Amino acid sequence: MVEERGDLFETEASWSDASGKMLCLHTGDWRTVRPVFDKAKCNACGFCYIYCPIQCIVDDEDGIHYAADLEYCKGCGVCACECPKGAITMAPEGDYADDCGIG
Amino acid sequence: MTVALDRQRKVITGNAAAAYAAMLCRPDVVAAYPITPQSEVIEQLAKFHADGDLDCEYVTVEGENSAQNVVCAATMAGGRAFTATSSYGLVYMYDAMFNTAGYRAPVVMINVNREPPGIHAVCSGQQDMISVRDTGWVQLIVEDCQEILDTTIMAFRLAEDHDIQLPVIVNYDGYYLSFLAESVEIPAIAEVDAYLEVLKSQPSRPRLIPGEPLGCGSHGIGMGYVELRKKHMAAMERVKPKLEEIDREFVQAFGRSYGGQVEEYRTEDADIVLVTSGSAVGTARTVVDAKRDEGVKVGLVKLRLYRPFPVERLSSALAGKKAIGVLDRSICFGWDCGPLYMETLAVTPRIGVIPMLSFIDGLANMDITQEHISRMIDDIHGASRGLPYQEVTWLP
Repeated sequence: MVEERGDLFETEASWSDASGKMLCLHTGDWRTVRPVFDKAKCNACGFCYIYCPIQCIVDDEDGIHYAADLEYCKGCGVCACECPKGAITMAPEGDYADDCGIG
Repeated sequence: MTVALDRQRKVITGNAAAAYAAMLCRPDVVAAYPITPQSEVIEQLAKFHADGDLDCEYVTVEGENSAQNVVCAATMAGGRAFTATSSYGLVYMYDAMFNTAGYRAPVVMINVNREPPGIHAVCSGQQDMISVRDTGWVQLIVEDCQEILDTTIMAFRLAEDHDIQLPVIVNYDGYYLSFLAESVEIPAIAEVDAYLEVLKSQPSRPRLIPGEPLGCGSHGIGMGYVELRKKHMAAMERVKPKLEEIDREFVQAFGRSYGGQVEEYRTEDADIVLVTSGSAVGTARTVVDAKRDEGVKVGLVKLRLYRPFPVERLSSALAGKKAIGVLDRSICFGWDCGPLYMETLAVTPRIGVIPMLSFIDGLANMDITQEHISRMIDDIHGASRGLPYQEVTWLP
């Protein structure tokens, strides 16, 4: 029995604007490692925010530090590499098997 | 303004006919790089632009790859775009052609058929259009200067139709048509406006607008890719009835018809049929008439639509015939025959097994003469009467 599936695209071509009307691709499910932020080391300089190639670093809930939007973070590790304080480590996704980060 | 924009009849070359047609369709962007035998098309368009007859962005790119990317982007921004090329230029934009088709960007392109690289030949031949067969573009091929002009106008109507949204190539034989001067009726620009007016009433496509985050072409992994391929294939199939519809609209607007996907000539009561395309069709028509006078019941099928392949129309034209020949101006590596012949073979399950003959002629400006076509018809006629025949014949 083949499951009926709706179209991913409402358009004829692969138009996307992440709005939900056009294609919204949750690239977070490509990730094998995720950034973990150590707030004790972080001085909120914002390098991770600037360097993130897909702009998925967001303000942390505390309004001071930063966090990754795990729906989109592909786990590239650029933030961890550029962080001058060594406050970001890349942790294997398997450690978070019960929380895949996708809403 | 330096050119009359009323309906007029002029003696112009095939290249000028293409340029006039593009100008009359009011493209927003023209981007092209010169190459023999296409250069006159874009020289003429540059002149229209310089003289103020054509209000567009005329982008003088550094090569054909850029030309294709410019016109692709222009249509994605909602514009109407035109380019023209030939041979080396066509294959130099090969990767970009996949983008244009995959983005479903309705570019209209002239390809003036010329032999591609390998054996340097500044000569006619259809191998270039054959070589871009699977890029996902619609491909038309035409016979004379009037048909170049008319089909280029129809190409914009087809490409931008909301049911289609595909780029279209209009092919014509280099040298034989590019530099052939014929009497051509050039419609008034107001008539062309009216013909294309229907496009404005259709739903709009998404388009790129500066400052609005929107992308195309970057996301299609997994099932998304499959879905878009299926949509592209379905749009290709819709081209066939749409072209017939557009041809009927064209008759009403301009009084000329080309039969849509194929033109049949004296096929109805024919026992045997020759299938061919492009500039050779005129010669073939003359020889078919002469053979008819001799009592040979021969017909002619002119292929106008190469992609999608007009399998239904072709099958119906060939059904019940006793033998068929296909004249190719190019070769099909790996099948040891002509490419249009190879594709015609594929209609066999629809029409039954009959003798089919492949003729390869006209490579690199070798003339397809009346004598050659007469010999082809004699061979097909012999095969239809049970005489032994050679499947593939190279002429001369």
